[in-house]
Amino acid sequence: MEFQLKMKNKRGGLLQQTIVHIVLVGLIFALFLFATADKINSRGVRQQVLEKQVALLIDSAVPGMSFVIEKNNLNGLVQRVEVRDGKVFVMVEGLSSFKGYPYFSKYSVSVREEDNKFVVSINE
Amino acid sequence: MNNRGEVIGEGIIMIYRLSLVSLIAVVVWGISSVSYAHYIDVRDAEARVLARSVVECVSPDGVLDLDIIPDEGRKNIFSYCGFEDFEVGRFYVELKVESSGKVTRLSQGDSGALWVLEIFKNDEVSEGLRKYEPGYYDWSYPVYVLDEGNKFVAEVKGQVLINNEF
Repeated sequence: MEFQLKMKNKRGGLLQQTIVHIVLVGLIFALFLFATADKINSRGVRQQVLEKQVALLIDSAVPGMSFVIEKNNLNGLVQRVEVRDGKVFVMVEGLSSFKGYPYFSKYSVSVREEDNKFVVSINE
Repeated sequence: MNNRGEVIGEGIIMIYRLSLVSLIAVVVWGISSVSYAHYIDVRDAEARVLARSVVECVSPDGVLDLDIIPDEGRKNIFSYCGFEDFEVGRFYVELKVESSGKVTRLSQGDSGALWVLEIFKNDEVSEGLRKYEPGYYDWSYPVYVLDEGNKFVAEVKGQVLINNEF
C-alpha cells in the first residue's frame, strides 16, 4: 500500500514536471515564431523602399516642388513620415523607423499630414 | 531534506534545458533574419544626383568662374555650394579642371575612400559584402573657365563617391 502510494506520487510529480516543461518550451517557441513572422512579412524591406525613394526625391528636388505620399500605399499603410536631422523616417504598418535614411539638400524640407496623404515640400 | 534536494536539482536541470531551447530559438531566428534581410542600394543614383547639384553650383550656364571661388571653397566644395557638413559626411567629390597642362582641383571629403572602391572591383568579393561597396559616379564635360581674367575652354573631370550609411 505504501509502495503503491509512493509510485502514484512519483508518477504525478513526473507528469506535473513534463507539463511545466511543455508549457515553457511552447512559450519560447511562440515568441520565436512571432519574431520570425515579423521578419518574413517584409515590412522592413518595404520601409526601406519608401525611405530611400523619398530621400532620392528630396535630393533631386528644387524649391517650389512638393510631392505626395499616399497613406494607402503599394508598400503598405504609411502611418508617419518625418524629416529630422537630415534623415527621412517612414513608419509602415506599425513598424517604426529608428535609423531612417539620410538625404542631402540645400533647401528647407518640411512634411505635413493631410487626410489620406503626406505632402513633402521643398522651399528656399 | 532529500525532497528539497530533488526539487532544487530538478529546477537546475529545467533552467538548463530552457536555456538550451532559448539558445537554439535565438540562433534559428538570427539565421532567418539574415536570410530575409534585403539591402536596397541607391547610392549610385545618389552619386549622380549629387554630381548634378555640384556641377550646377560651380558652373552655372556652362561657365566656371574660378576667380569667385576662394581657396577655402576649393577645398570644401560642398560647403561652398550650400550643403551642411553633417549632410555630406559620407561623400567625397572631386572636380579636376584641366587646361594646357594646368590642373585645378575642387574637392571635399575623404579621398582615402577611393581605395575601398578598388577592393570591390575584385570579382571575388562575396555578395554579402557588396552592400559595403561605395556608390560611385564619374563623368567629364567641357566648360568655359574664367581664371585670372582669362577665358578658355577646359575639360572638367569629376567623380563622386558615397559611403554606406551604416
